[in-house]
Amino acid sequence: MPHTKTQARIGLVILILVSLIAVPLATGILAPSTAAYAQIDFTPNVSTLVVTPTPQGATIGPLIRHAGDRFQCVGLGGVIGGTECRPELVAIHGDDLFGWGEIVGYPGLMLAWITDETGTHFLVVSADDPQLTGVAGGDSFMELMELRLAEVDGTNKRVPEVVGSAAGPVVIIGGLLLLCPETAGVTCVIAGLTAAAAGVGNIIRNAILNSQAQDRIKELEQGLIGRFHQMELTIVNP
Amino acid sequence: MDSRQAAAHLPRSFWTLAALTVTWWSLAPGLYFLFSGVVAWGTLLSAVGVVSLLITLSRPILHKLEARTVYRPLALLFVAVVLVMALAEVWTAISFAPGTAYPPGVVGFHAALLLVSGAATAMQLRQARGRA
Repeated sequence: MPHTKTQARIGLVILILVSLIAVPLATGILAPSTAAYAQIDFTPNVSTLVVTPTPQGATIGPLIRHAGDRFQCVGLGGVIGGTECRPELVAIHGDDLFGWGEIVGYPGLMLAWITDETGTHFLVVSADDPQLTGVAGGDSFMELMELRLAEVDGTNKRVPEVVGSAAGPVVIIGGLLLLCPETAGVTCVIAGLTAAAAGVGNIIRNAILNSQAQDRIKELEQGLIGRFHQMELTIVNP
Repeated sequence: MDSRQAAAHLPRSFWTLAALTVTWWSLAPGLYFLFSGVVAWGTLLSAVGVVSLLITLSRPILHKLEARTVYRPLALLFVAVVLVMALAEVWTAISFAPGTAYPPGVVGFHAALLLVSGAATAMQLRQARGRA
């Protein structure tokens, strides 16, 4: 029996040593990614643009072949604002709400889209339009999209990290329950509490980062809407 | 508290539920993350989940665990952490998931079952204390 207890104690010591590495890893404390997201400091200067609502009577439907064509989809029941009529693109950079892509069969034409309270708006833009690809100050549509995608990607990574941060302490305390000798109970409880505190701390950290990211995403989307309307004004009413 | 006084044998039902809780906690999201392309978390959680599932299904291991003397406050801490972390996941489903690729309903369902299994494990622990 003493031999068994000695083995159990050795096992416990090893487990605690492993926990010292595993807890920070499992809870993402050592991960550089989320810290990097927090360092993005971006203030779009598109807010000063004159934003005019899209005039009514825009082309509706997929028959778009020229820079300046703009349209909204008309779904079943006459519902305007979906993405069903979006023409086929070589690749989609973005999602259903905001994005751009080269139109298949039209190498010089890009399709850009934004979503506001009236639905999703599409605009055909020349591939070399500086407002689409790059402007002084770095607030082109593509650049704003890249920043938005990075923020959305960072937010997507936070869900697994929070789930992992919650699972980590449960698994560690479960392991302690399996291996911990009764005589080392207090030590094991302290180790378990440490793991739980690390997990809770990381969940709170992710919540703060997530809140900041949501604010930045909203800010970037406002910038995208502003840039989109300015492209409309420049191309359609030069 | 004297550690001798806090020592206890826990019933097989407690160990089964505890192992099942860890299995559900790790294996379900692990597989989901793997299929979503989140390889690191997916692999880690799936591996833990498989080990836990083996414990859940293994009669000899459960028999040994039942015969084992454990420190009761540690078992209490396990149950408390399960419940707190499940609530944290409910909160994640409400506040995080809507802006991400993860459906809030899926995250919420996972957390809700964890709350149920955590509560069931707590009841087993309470019954074991009553018998002791």
